[in-house]
Amino acid sequence: MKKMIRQGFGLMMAAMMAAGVTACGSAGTQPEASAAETTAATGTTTVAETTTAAETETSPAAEASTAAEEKGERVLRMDAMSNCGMPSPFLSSSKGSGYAVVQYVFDTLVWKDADGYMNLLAEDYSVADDHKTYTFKLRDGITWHDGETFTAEDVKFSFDYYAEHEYSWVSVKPVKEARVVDDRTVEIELNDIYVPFIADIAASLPILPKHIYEKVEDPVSYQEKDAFVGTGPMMAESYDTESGVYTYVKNPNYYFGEVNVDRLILSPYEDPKTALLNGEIDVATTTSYKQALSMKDTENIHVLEGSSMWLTRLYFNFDNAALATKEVRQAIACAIDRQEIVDKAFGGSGVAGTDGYVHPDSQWYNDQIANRQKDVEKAKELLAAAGAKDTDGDGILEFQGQPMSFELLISEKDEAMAELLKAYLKEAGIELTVKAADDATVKSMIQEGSFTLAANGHGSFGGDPKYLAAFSADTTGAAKVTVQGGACWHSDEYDSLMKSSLTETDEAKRAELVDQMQVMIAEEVPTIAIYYKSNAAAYNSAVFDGFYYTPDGISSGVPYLYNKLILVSGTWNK
Amino acid sequence: MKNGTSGKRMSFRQKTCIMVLSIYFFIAAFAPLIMPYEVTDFSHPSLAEPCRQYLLGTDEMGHDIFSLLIYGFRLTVCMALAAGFFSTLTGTVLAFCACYLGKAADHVITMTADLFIIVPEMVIVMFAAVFAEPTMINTELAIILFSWPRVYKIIRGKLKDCMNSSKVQYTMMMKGSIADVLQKLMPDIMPSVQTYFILQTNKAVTYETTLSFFGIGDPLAKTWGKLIRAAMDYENLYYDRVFLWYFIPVILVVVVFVVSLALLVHGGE
Repeated sequence: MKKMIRQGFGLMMAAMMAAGVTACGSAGTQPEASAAETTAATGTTTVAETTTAAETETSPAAEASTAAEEKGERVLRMDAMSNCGMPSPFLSSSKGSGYAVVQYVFDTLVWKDADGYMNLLAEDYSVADDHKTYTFKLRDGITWHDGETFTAEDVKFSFDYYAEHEYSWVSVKPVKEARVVDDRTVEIELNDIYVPFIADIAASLPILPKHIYEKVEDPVSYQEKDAFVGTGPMMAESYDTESGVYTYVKNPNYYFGEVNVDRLILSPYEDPKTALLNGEIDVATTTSYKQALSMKDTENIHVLEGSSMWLTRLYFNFDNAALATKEVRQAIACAIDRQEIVDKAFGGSGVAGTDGYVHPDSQWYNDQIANRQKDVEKAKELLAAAGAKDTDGDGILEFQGQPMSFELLISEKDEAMAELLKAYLKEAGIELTVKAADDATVKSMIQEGSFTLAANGHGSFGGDPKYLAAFSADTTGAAKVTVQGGACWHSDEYDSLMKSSLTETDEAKRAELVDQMQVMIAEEVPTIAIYYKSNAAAYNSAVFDGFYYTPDGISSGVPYLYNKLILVSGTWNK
Repeated sequence: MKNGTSGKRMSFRQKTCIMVLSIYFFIAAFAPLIMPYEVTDFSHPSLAEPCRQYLLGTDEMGHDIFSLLIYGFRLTVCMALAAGFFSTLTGTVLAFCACYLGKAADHVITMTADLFIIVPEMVIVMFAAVFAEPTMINTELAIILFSWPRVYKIIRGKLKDCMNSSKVQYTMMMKGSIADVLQKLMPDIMPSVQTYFILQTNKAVTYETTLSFFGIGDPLAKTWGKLIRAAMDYENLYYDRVFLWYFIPVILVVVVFVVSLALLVHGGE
């Protein structure tokens, strides 16, 4: 008897220890994995999956949708990113996904549909000859969700309010003054010519209701129900902080057209592909490229491919004497095989980076630049020219007496890329030690400048080439996430090119300036564009059809199917 | 370490465990000879199915999975043995110091050990490993540094009893050197030390695997934990048969190793 108990105990111990490995794993990945890292998110165990499934069954979203379906409502269910904040400009997250939840409720003067820019709140607009004043004629008969009439006062108020209360997604710094001409006409005067004004400000700035926000002193902490009153096609109904589920209801009086769904539910899913296939959601827009494509042959599932608005690149710290040397950076660019990185580390779901930083499909891309191909001999020559020599014969070069051994900072999911980079640079005589951290930490370390070499990705890339400001001294125009901290590359010539490109109203001349900037980037290598991530999404066309990817992304580069006008132009098929 | 219950006859279960473990050590020792390819060699086609050339297929990057698995034997088994050995050694030496030096030293060391025991080991190990430089050695040190207190507590208890035994008291009275005292104590505590060595090794495997699963430590070290993680990161793992050769073998290898070590201690009578 005693023996049996002993044995039983032994077995139990063993089982527990073995289970410990998997159990710890699943418990740990769950809170970490955001939908943004879909690839990482899929790495949950079956244990995690069952809990997620169990949770969603009782989640408010599911309850709301079943209750609504009984009433015969048309409910569209989409997957969402996690941690997007509440659907008002000041309460949403500063990432693109935060803007996505806001745009359903708040309209802008100009907007983009499948074909590009079109007027939304504005009926028409004109630009003065000096390109500094824009006059917007507003549409008639627009009402706020609470019934108040929308007027030019609201537009003026919004510009003034954003000048006072900073909004992380759009900066109104280039605007000097907003003036009300009459009830339906507004004039916006700029400090200086700012070519991306329409793209960057008019088509992105959510217009706020004056009658509500004039009483709000601190919009960041104001969370009353009326903080979510806009003019958009959907009205914010509820947001569950715990589960991250958004519920919107149709705005019955939408001025731009009839909204073709009654209710929209956005909820985060760890594995949108499975959720879509199981019919828990109708649209999976946060899936990875490969996952979306793998659903191509499924009945009723429609797969869309969008242009890339996500760039993974190599950052240099210019405090490091070796990395501050141009030839060393050029050598590193010569040593790596970007196409192989795309194929091996990212499963071919992207396009290899260009030397000029701009995406090869962009209209601004300078196709005269011959992109560097992997050439180890060339890399060695460049390093030798920079004065790097292997004096102690250990296979690692020394630069000014210091061995060329650098720490490469990567986010956990990029280990494969790090392995490739390490192997490439070793061939050229540079040693890398790899340090992995979670993505948010890596991003903040890059922004603080506390790294030597770092490889990381960011969105907000594409569309108007104002994002090239990330390499100039004045980074206005480039999204905050794209700017590196600490000692950076600096060139007065580049700065002046950047400055003139923002005030050059002739598009051909501007393209020339942008071409020149790309030549400088290719020559000076302030960063190495490794790869542009491809985008794809899938949706059930038997429920709702007519989805599209917004050209250059919603606002600036939000690469999802969340464009609010889809709900107006699309068709309900169920 | 051959027999945790020295002197007595080994049960069938223990014999099996020892055989399994011997195979593990054999593979670990001769890993470079068994591996068909280098672990840093990613030149193979990606996601190949198992065939004569790639016994367990290849991963997304084009590593031979069989080679990764075999290399994991070397890394994980060596790390676990080293961690088990050093944490047991540390615990035992400290326990001896505490008992031999008495009062103050005993107090301080026991307090420290208690402190470490209050916080779950895994948490401090992870904490330390995250903040240290990302190398294998540091992960190893973190495991050793924080897993000795349990060994210490048990061995100290044993030693306390033995110290009072007449033969030790006699040696002390005769002003025998530390070596003499140790020699008298050895036979009494050795079985416990052996048992703890196995248990600590067992724990180290779990720790190491869990840590590298979380991406703590050298991100490029090809341990079993890394392989498990890579397999789980593979997006279509549950949609096609890839898990059969990508995921299952490595899980089996880890489980069999951990279970064998555990049964070696608990299975015998």
